[in-house]
Amino acid sequence: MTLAKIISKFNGKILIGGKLKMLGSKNKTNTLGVEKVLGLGLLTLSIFGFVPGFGGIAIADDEGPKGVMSVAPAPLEPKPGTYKPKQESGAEIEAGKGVYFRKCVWCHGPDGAGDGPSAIRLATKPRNFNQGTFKIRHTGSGELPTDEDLFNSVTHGLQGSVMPPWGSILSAEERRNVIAFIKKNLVKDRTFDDPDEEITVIDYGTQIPSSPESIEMGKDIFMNKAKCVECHGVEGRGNGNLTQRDDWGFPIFPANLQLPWNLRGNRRDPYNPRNIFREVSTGLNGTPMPSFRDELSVEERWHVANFVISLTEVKRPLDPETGKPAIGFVIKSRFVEDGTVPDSPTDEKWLAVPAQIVGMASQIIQPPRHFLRTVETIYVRSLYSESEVALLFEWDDRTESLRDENKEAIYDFKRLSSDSFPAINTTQYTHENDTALGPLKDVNPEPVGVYNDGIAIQFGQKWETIPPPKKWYFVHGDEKDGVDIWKWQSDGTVEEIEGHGISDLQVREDKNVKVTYAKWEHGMWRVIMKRSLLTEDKEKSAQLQTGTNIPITFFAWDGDAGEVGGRMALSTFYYLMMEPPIPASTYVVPPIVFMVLFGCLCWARIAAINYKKDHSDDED
Amino acid sequence: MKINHRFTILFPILAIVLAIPVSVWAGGGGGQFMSAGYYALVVETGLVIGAIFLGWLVKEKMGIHIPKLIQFPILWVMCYVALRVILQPPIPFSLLAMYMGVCTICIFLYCSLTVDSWRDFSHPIAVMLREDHTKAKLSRYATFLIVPGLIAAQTFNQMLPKFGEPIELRTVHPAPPASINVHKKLVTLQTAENPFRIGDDGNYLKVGEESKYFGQNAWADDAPKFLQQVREGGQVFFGTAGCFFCHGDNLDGKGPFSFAFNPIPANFADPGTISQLQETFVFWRVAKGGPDLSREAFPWASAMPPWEKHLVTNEIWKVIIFEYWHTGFYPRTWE
Repeated sequence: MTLAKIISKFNGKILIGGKLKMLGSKNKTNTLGVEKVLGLGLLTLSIFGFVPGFGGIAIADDEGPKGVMSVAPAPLEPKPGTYKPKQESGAEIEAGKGVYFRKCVWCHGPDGAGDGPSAIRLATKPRNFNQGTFKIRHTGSGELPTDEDLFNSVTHGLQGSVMPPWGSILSAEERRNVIAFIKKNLVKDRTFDDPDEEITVIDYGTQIPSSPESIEMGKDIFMNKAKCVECHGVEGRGNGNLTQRDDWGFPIFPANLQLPWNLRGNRRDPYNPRNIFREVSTGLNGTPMPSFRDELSVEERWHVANFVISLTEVKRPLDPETGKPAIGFVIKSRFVEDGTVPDSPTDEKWLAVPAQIVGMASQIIQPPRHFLRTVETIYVRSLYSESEVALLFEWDDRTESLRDENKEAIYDFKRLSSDSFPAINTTQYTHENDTALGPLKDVNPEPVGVYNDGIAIQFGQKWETIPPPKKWYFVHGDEKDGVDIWKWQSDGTVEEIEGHGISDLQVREDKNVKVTYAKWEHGMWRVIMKRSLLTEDKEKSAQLQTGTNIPITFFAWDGDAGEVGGRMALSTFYYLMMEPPIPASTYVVPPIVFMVLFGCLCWARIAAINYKKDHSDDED
Repeated sequence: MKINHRFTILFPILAIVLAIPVSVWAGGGGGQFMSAGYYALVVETGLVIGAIFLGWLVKEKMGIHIPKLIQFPILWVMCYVALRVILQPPIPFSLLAMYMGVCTICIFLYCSLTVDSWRDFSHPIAVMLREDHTKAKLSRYATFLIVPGLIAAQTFNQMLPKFGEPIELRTVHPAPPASINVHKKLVTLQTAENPFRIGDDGNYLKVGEESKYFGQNAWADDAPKFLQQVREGGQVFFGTAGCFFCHGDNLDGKGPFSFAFNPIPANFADPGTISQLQETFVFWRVAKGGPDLSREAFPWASAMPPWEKHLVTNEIWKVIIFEYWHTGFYPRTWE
C-alpha cells in the first residue's frame, strides 16, 4: 500500500515526460532515437504500472479490525482414566509461596480464602481455595482437578473474570510452583494425596465435527432432553434462572453462551467446541452447572457443544491482547439508496452493514462510581438517508427492567452478598475526599429497587468547530465544551440532554430524536434510534455531516444492576462515519485512463513501425 | 582444482539469504555487540558486493547473457527489497521514495550508458512493438492489456473513498506542572518526597535501597515497616480504589476494562512507564487524573479519575510505593 502511494506520485510526471519526449523526437534524428524514448516510456509504464497493481490488490482488505480466531496454543489435556496428582517437593512449595504472595494474594487472600483486597469490588468472587472446589476441570463432578487443569487455568486465566492469563507473566516453573503451594497449603478441607480421593479424567471420545445435522440434534438436547434452556435461555444468553447461588452463598448467573470469549474455561480459544464438551461433561464444581456425563452420551455431548458454538453466528476475530473481539473505532454508516431508513430491525437494509462492536466499561471515574456494569458490548449498525440517520443498537441484558421502587433488583447489592462471607460482600463504597480518613464511607446513594434500562449516545455540541484532535470530556462533557446526549429508557422516554459534566445534565425541550423500535427478547435489547441530520438549534444540538469522522460516545444502563444516572456503562470515543456514496467519477475515470494508455501504446507501435521503415538500413 | 562455475553462484545467494534474517535480528535489537544502524550498514555493503559478484559470475563465468531489459527490473526490485525490508530499522517513507528515485535513475544510466547496452535494453521493446511473428504478437497483446489494466486498477483504488480512523498522535508523558495543590496542601513536584519511603531504622530510604524488599512477603506477620506500607498500598490498588479494573492484576494495563478504553491504561510493568518517571510525577498523575493532562495528552479521552476526590494523600503515596515494589522498578531521580 505504501508502495502504491510512491508510485502514484511518480506516475503522472514520468508519463507526461515520456510522452513529451516522444512528440519531440519524432522528426529528429538525434542520438536518443525513437527506440530509446519509446523504451523509456514503456519501461516506466511497466515498472510503475506493475508494482502499484500488486500494491492495489493488497489494499482490498482494508475493512474491519484485525485479529485472530484463537489467541492461545492448545491447553494440556490429561489422559482419560484414573488420575494421580503429582506430589511436589518442599522446595517447590516454598518457591510457590513466594510467587503467591507477590502476584496472587491480592485477590485470593493470605489464606487462599478468596478474600484478598479486590474481593469487595467483584461480583464473580476470587476462588476460595480452602474447600478444594474448582470449576474448570477434566475430572468427574465434585472431584479434585488435575495438575494440568490448574496449570491451564493459571496459564490462560479465566476469561470473563478478572483472572488474567499468567502464561505471559510467570515462567512455567513459577506456575507449577504456585500450584504446588495452593494444593498443599491453601486447599485445607481436602488433600491431594488422600487415597480416598478418586480422580477420573473424562474421555473426549471421537469428536463429531460440526454440521447442520449435529447442530440440530444438539439444539434438541439443549431445549428438551438436557433442559439447558431453563438456565441459559432460549437463545443461550444466560437469561434463564437468575436466582441461584454458588456453594459459598453468592448469587451466580447462568453463562451467556453467545459471548464464548467470556466463558471461564474457554482457554482463550473460544470457538473450540472441545471446551464446551468438557464443561458439559464435568460440570462446574461449586456452581449449579451439573455434569451431564451420565445423562448424555459422548455423541450427544458433542452435538450440544456444536450447537452452543453455533449460537455465536459471527465468529469475530479476537484481539490477542484481550482475548475478546477486536474493536474498530469507526462506526460506518451506509447510505440507503431509496431514501427511507428502516423502522424494523429485521429489514434487509440493516444486513448491508456489519454490526460493529462497542466495548463498554463501568463509570468508575467520578462519583457515583460504579464497578459492576453488566452491559459489556453493544453491537451497532447505522444507516442514513438524505435527511436522517438511524442507529440500531443490540445488546445483551439478562433482564428487562422497568422502574419499580418496591421490586428487588436481580443484581441488588443485598442479593450480591453472602451471609457466610460478609467480609467480602461487594460494595460500591468509596472515600469522599481527604477528610474522609478511616473506614470506607458510602458516598454513592444506595440503589432502591429496579431502574429503567437505557441507552444513549453523545456528540459534542458544535463539534465541527473544535479542531481535531481536541474533543470534549467523554464523560458527559465539561463546563466549557458541552455535549448533546440522545437517551432512550425502557419506559419509552426519549430525551435530548445538554451535558456539562456528569452532575450538570439538563433535558432540553427538543423532540428531534425518535426511537422507532425498542424490544427486549431472549436476553437482548434491540433499539432503533433516529434523528434528522440537521436541526434548528445549531448551538445546543449536534449537526451531523456526512463523509467525516464524528466523535461519538456510548452509554448504557441496566436497571436491574442499580444503574441510573452516573452509575452506568460507558465507552471511549468512537467515530461515526456516514460514508458518502461512491462518486460516479470513480467508475468513469479508470476506464478513460485505460483507453488513453492503450491509445498511447498503439501510437507507440505506429511510431515504431514508421521508424523502422525510415531507418530500415540501420536495422539488423 | 577446477571449480564448476555454475555452482559458485550458490555462494552469493547463500550469503544474501543468510544476511536477511541476520539483519532483521540485528534490527530487532538482538545485535548487542554493535548498534542496529551500523550493523545494517555492514549488511547492506555486503549485499551490494554480493550482487556485483553474482552479476560477474553469471556473465563472465557461466556465460549467461541477461538482456539489460531484464536486468533493469531485477536490479530495481533488489534495491527496493534492500531498502524496504533488509535495512533496519525501517526508514521513513519519504526517504524510501527519494532513494528509490535515485536508484531508478542510476539503473537507467547503467542500462543506457553505451550504444550497445542501450540496444540490448531497447531492442526487445522495439521487437515487441512492431514485429509480426507469434512471440512478438503475444507479448504485445499482453503488454497492451496488462499495463493499462493495472494502472487503471490502481487509479480506481486511489479514487475509492477510504474511511479510516483519524490518526491522532498523543503524548503519553507530558511535562508536569511545577507544583500542584492536593487536599489544600501545595506539593512542589521537584522537591516532594514519598513519606512512606522509610527503612527499618525509620530513616528515609534512598531510591535503590528498597530493592532488598523486592519479592519479599508483604503479608508476613513480621513484615518490616516498608513492606507494611506496600501491603496497604496494594489494598488501595485492589480494594479501596479498584485500580486493577484498568491497570490489571499484574499492573500491566490489561485489566478487565482496558479493552474498552482508548488510550489504553498505562502498563506499569513496562520499563517505559513508571521507571522513567519520578515518584512525584506519578503522584501528580494519580492525584489529578486525566482532566489535568495538558492538551497534547488528550485529557478529554483519558479515563483516569482524579483520585484526590476518592483517596486521601497518604493512600496515593502508598499506592505508588506498591506499584514500584510490585514491578521491581525504581523511580527516576534527579541524581
